[in-house]
Amino acid sequence: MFAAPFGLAAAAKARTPSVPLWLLVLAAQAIDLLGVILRLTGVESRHPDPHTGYGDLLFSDSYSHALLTAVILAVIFAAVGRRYGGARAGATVGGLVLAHWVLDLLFHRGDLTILPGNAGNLPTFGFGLWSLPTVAAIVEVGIVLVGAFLYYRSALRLPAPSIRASAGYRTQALTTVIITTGLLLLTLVVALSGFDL
Amino acid sequence: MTLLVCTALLAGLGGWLDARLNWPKPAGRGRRERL
Repeated sequence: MFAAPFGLAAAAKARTPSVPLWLLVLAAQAIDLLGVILRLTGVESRHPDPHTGYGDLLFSDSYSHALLTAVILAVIFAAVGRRYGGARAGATVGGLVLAHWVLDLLFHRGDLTILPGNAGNLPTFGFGLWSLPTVAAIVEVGIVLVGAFLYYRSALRLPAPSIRASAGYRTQALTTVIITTGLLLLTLVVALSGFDL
Repeated sequence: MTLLVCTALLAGLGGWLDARLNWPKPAGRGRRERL
């Protein structure tokens, strides 16, 4: 899963407009970003590495994708988010981290652990939508488009900087959202073409 | 690595979009409006 969390971030901006989009993007990808760092430092491994196609990854006793790690990251990001709009902003930013884990639960093929490193050998989870790459990609595109639409609708409701600027402002909002959506879909194309994540 | 690059790009783009559009500022942040 690659593009869908970006769509979640765009949707979250519509809910809590005072939170900067960069923070929402980082929160939505926090789990995967931690995974990249742990993999580069040799703490975590996955198969195959490098992977060869969309949705073919399996993690081994993951630290970054454990539920407890997601909860800890969510608490940290919620604390940062609170600075940008109180409890509601904190809940949204922290919720984005957890939403990524929930999406992973839908996509991954039974490799998500409860505790980091699969301590205690507890059962692992994942409903395996990646086994159906076309369906998984369609779901990702859907989340990106819905997120972009919510972002655009929210941007249009913003007051224009001045009455004279209002017409241009509408165009500007649409242009920026089209650029963003295009980039999001491009990231999915990158993922679909099997580039190493 | 692709994820790192894409996230950095989109986070940067997010900062740019926030600046371009008239999103509400968090309380106590940003420039004060002129009277």
